[in-house]
Amino acid sequence: MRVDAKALLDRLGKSDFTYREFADRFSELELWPLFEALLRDTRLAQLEEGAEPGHGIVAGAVAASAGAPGREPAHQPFAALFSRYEGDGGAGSGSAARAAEPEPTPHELPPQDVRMLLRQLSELQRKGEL
Amino acid sequence: MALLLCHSSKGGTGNTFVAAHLALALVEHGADVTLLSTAAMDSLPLHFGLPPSTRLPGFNAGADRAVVASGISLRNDPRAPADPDFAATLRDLGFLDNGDRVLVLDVAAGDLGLARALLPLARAHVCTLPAAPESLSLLPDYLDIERGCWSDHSVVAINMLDETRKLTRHTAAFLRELLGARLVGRVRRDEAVPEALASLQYLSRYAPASAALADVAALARAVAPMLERPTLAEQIVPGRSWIA
Repeated sequence: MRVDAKALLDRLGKSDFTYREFADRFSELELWPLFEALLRDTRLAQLEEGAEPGHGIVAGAVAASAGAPGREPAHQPFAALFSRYEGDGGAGSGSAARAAEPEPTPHELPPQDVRMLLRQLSELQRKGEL
Repeated sequence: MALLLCHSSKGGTGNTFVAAHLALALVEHGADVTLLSTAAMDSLPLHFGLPPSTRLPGFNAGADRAVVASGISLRNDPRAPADPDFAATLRDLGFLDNGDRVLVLDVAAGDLGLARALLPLARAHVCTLPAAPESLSLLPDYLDIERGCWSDHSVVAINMLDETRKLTRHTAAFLRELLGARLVGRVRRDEAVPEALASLQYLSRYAPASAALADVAALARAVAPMLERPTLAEQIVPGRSWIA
């Protein structure tokens, strides 16, 4: 054990550390501009297409078919994450990239309550079930 | 032989650490494992408590030159990235045959061409990333069919995770949401890892209670079932297991 760690433990009267995880709820996270920029990159869409490893589509097939007629826009599956940048506040809320994007029409939004879904995911993550 | 490809989008992510510990975990579960590094400057021996002067035998070297650590045959072939027939050589030497052995390939980030060539032959591809802006920024390129290295068999492991840091915490949460089931594990930042390297000891011996050690073991448990799946290029014999 490192000398400084041992000295700290001695001061605290402890013999070992307890590791604490700082797991934030996703809905409470800061919206960094980098996150927003990534969500606007259509190449990330295949993560949604093949969310389960081994059960999705080969990257090339996804990329080749992304522009097929009648297909949803490639970034559409990430609307759940993306929509967080459409609200007020957040580090990325005023970016030029957002200004260039048209406002999502109601039919483009996912039918479910996205925030509730994200809250559920965060809860599962907190419980270690995800 | 199941091929487990370890390749990351950038250097310094701990790819070799993860490859070494995946190999160790697979051996503990009864697999016959060969671990091959293709780096010209190879730090792989250090992860097995071997001194820096250790020179690992080439891929084609005979058994008399083998370096075996914890039951793993360690190899190094820095010529592989420049060898257009490397994948064919793997096949010719039986490394891609159906069987009960596992070949863990530690491919340096810069050897993207080799990783792309091997991707269709791998039953699993583990990309190790720190939860950092640089790693995030490279994700779109890494997933790009023309430029990157990503397939249906690719998964991500977050490494050197320190969730006491705000940006790291947020980045990790973002990756969790973004990657979903593709994120198969996280390894916490742990000073015991470099200390074990400096001590020329296995991490499991130097710090049995290491957080990183427990995390990488959990990662191995998540990755191991993937080795039962067929590669993208071919099907395996049904019912055949990589575990002896």
